[in-house]
Amino acid sequence: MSFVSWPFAVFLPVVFVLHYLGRSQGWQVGVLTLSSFIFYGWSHPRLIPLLALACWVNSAASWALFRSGRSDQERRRVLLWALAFNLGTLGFFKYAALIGRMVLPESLWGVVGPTLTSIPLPVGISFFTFQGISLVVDAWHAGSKGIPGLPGEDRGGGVGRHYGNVTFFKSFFPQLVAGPIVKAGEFFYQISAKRLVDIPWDASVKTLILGFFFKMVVADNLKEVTAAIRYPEFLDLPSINLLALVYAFSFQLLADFAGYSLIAIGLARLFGYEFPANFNHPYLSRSITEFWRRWHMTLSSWLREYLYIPLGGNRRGEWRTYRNLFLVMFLGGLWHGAAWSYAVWGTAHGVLLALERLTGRHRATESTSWSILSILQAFLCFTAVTFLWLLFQLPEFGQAVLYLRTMATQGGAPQVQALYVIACFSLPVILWHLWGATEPWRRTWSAQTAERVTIGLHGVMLFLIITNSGPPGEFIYFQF
Amino acid sequence: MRTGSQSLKIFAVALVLCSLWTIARSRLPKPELGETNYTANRLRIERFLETPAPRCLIVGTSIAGRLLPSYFEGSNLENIVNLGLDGASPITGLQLALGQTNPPAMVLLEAHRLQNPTRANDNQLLAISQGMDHQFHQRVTLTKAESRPTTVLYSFLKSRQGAGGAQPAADRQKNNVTEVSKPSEKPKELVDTIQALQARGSKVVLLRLPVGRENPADPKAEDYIDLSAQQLGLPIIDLYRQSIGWENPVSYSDGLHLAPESARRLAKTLAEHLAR
Repeated sequence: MSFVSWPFAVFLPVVFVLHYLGRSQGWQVGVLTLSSFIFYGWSHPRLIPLLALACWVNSAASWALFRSGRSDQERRRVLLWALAFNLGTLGFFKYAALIGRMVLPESLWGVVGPTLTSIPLPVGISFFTFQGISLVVDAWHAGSKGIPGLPGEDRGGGVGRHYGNVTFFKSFFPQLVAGPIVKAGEFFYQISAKRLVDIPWDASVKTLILGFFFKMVVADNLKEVTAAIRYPEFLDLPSINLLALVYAFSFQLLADFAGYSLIAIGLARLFGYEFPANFNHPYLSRSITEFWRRWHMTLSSWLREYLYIPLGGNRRGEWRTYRNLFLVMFLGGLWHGAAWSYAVWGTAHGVLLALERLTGRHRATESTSWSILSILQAFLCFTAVTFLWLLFQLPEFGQAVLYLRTMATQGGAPQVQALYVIACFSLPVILWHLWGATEPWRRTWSAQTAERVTIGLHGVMLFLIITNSGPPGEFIYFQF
Repeated sequence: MRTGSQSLKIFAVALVLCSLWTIARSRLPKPELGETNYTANRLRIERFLETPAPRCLIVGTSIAGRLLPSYFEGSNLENIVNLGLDGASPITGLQLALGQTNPPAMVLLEAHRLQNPTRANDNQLLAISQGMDHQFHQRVTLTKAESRPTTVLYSFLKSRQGAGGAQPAADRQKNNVTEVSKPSEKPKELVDTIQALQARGSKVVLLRLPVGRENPADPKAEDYIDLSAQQLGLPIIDLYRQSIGWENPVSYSDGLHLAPESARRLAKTLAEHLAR
């Protein structure tokens, strides 16, 4: 079920009312878990067993890791089995065809290839398997004392409640399909009986309006023109349009994904839960290092905590640090999709991060003041990130190169209609970044002025959601 | 409950803006052009659904879509509706006409892209005319395509733009030639839909327009269209032949689609032809 659909418009108020009808934690968790499974299986009910299995395995593994009296060897075995399950699930559904193509001889590939390529990619699998990994790794570190909010048996935790809470954590519908990737330690302590009077209405409504505005007005309208970034359609476009489309896709991708994250955060607040922020005006970044602190922050944080640091991070010499950076970015790229273009995309970011490390730019602190130089740095960083996004729209590497070559050589008179659309619907993303860049100045405003501006802007966004939405479409990150 | 006063004020601001926009919209001309294919198609389909039993309906692709209804003002075709849908099959327009309680008396079917089968885009367009979205747009008129601020602005700017046509880049003209549909390639769906419309009393006529990039090297182009008319058993109005020898030759906005001035003149010619 999509957040931007009629079924969801009915689903949400029904779940909201049912949730607050009961006052006990058990009732509320039960309602949200059941409704999350309905949400997930709405279009593809056959995916429900997979989600249920993932919930059960991770519940059982984390419960086993919490139990005292087990030897380290036994606990390690449980951890490895749980990790193998999570990674195996992801690998089977997402990478079987890619790996098969690489390792199988041509004759065998001819036999099993069609089967492997026909395996469907379950929606949200990249997100809920990462959550499962975070849970079992945290449970491994926590031992019998348990995770805050998810106590082990020694601390009075019951097995029934444990399974229920873990299933809720993994399936909670706002973040189930495309994040933010909520880690175990950020979630379980929040599970309690929620009251209607505690809902932060203003924060929820404003977040939801911004999220729906980004998705329905910005991303869905831009998608109408960025669909032209497709082979061979782009061969017909003049250079100026090809250039503008690259930037338009960059804005669309941000609006689509940040929009989803904001909607997820706003919805969670309606049910009394707080998710971590996922985007912080990423195109203001003056370096790639800073970009990854502002873009898909929960994935960056996850990769740092569960991959980069366990690999040794930057504590084992320069060579190891660079190797770890490359590896994390390479795998982070592949996480986005089973195609080499995603790996190239991730590796390119790894190279840029390494270059910044070499030149010491990674130590530059995030500053809130702007100069000509920092504006130039931000623009260069934005342009580098933007051109690398092209691989998301043109996963065939050769086509991406052809696109750039066509852009450099085609010429031709600009197609004004598409440029008008790009200008209209890129503007809100640019203004949002200006809003972020002017934060120090805005802090000097009186509370009354700040409130008036906030109310006015959100009112305009709501008006545009009503009047100026684009054709409804899936969220881009669903495919990852 | 934790305040919520800002939320109420936000909804109040949005409500005021909606009211002001509703008033402004009633004083502004209805947009005829959309900034994207989808919006342009929505505009045309919504206009079609609002017009009870139009006397004449144009059906086809973006080529025929250039004959805007306003170009027919003052003629006997004032309530003409245009379902020349961007990137669509002509079958979609015919199916929309067939879905009406009272199909139009005359359907002018663009002769150039008869071979276009229906695709995913066409299903999306048919969905505009049915389902929850359609019901919602019918009831909340502010959500209609004609109420989109960016569409109103775009249509306004385009209407003020000069009428001169632009020439395409030479390589594009070379690479992107419009194929005239071959007589043997008519989808069965097209034939069936035409027959169903005829059975319900609509007169279906083929409409040939000048097309910028129609392959000038293909001597069969005219034959194909004549053969199509014969094969489908339809009369043909050939505005292309009528436009040959005009003092000001037909011009195109992008090398393929009619420029506004030429479209306006052809609309007048069409109205005169039908009046005869």
